[in-house]
Amino acid sequence: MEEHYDVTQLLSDDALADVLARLAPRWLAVSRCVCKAWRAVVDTRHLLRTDLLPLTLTGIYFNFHDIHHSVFLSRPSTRPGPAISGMFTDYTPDNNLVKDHCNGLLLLESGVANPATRQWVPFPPAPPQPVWMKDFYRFDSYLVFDPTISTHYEIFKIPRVPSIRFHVLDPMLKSSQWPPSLCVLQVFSSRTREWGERLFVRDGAAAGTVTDMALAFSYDHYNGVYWHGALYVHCQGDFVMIISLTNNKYQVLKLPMNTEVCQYKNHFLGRSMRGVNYALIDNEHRLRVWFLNELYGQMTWELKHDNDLSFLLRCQEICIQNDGPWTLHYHNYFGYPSQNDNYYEAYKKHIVRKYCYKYDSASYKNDCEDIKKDVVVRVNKFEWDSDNDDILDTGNSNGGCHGYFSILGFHPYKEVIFLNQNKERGLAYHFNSSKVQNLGSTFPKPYDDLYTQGMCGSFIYTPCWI
Amino acid sequence: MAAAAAEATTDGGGKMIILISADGKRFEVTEAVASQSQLISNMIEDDCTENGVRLPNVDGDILTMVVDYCNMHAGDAAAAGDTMKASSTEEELKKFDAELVQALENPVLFKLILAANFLNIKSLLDMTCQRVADMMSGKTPEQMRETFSIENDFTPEEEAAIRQENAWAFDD
Repeated sequence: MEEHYDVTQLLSDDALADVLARLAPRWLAVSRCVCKAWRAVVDTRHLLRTDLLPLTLTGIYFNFHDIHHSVFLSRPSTRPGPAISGMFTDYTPDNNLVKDHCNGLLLLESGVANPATRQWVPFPPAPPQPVWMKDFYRFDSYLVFDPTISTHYEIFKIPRVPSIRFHVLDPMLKSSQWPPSLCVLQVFSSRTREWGERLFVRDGAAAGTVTDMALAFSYDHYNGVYWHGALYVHCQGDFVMIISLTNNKYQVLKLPMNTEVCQYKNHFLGRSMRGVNYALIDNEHRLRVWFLNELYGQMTWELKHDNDLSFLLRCQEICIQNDGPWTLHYHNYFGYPSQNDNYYEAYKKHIVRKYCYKYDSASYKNDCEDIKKDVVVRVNKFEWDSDNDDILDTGNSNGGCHGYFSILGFHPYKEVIFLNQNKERGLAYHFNSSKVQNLGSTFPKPYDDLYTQGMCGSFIYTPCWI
Repeated sequence: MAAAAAEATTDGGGKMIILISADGKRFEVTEAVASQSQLISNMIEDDCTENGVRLPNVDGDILTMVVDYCNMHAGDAAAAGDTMKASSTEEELKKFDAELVQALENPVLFKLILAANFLNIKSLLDMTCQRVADMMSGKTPEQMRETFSIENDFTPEEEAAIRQENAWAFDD
């Protein structure tokens, strides 16, 4: 037997660097902590490129009902070099609505886009649904991607129980458990470039019956979170499906607050610095945020913030008057008059028919003049890097309490939640200090004509250059 | 196996050259086999292999493995000599590589990296470095140290600070 000794000392720095350079960024970062010699090799040769990883927040994508393009609220750039354009319509074909985001990749209808590298990779359509899902017509897709470990990604299709108002279910199916104890999911892998089926076995109780789910309020969008090898999917009926990708099991976890709080809940499942969070704003504008504590395999929701936000609505005027430092990028239906006017007219007709609203052509013409030149609302001259910019004076709040809040998402690296006030204005709310910053307008003025019913789905974007 | 390689005669075709390990063991291989090493390939071009090639930092047992590997990968079955009659199919090669690399334990694996690095055999270097990288992946710093018997020369404060620099890479 050989004696135990530090075998890596056999290697020259070149050979050691050759080994370390093969590690995925996460393991390279871990290897820096092993000993001084390793750290020196990693650092002097710049092997670890954290600047390419999705470790910064650069904006928020969000969608409006019936508008087929996502809007991008862009944070002022803190990175040298060209800023990332939130718009991706110039290199993606007819795929302009963000369905999901995971660590820098955007999931669109028929492909995956990376706005940082301006790459677009289409994926084949999913094969027909498995027999057991024949009664389900709605699937939501979620991206799983962690560039600190691998450059490959997967797409999971999660079935939703159709709402009972629209669909008559098979009586046998109605009383069966949901989600089923053996859950077959369709999964696309970028490694094989094919769709396949993966079986996940439920660990623990179901959320209820299919009928329970069909009766539950159904939202247009449910967020998913990929965190530490598991996919957390928000589901109708107030639960989260926690799908472990390492052992092919899944669990059902009830949300901390049930439907009695408010009928149409404004809530959000997202990722923050320490893991999975759930936020809820009830009808009285009370914001509650829970952190999912998974210590020792036990999952518990820990209430970490509870505050009444009505004070913010009372200082609404201040918000509206100030332009925030973030900029809004959106698809300009008016951009190129010769081509897009027709498109816009057709689109507008569709929307108008849908809501039976009368259309005022004079105001449309004015708006056209306003924004013909550029999709970006304005060039900002502010820096949002500091925590102290654009803090709203919330002391002077004696106005009436009008409007509502919705949740845009959690800051991935700070104790901040992003809120949207009356769909018009983005706000950053700091949990610890209850400080509020005004980000800027979140609603493109010309979209007024499109009679949208409000926001449905938002995605905190962290760019990845790998 | 070293003997097997040394037994090879010139009948296999191609000129033979002799590799001499640090501990004086001699290996006779065809030029085709030996020139997978960029170092030796250059020496052949420069005509300085007449009296054998001395490899003062490669031990006999390591050189045995290198020669086996090169014989397996020489591509031309004839060049590999009588003992390697069956032409190695791609699948066999893969199996051979997988078994070789899986069987390697710490000191030998690292000595093989050194040899591959010195002899400049890219495919062998890739394979062995990747093996070490695979051994490291998914481990904590403490587990990495255990795997390779490395002494932690950071103070706890230093280590905590370094972790903090890349807090995203650590679960807690």
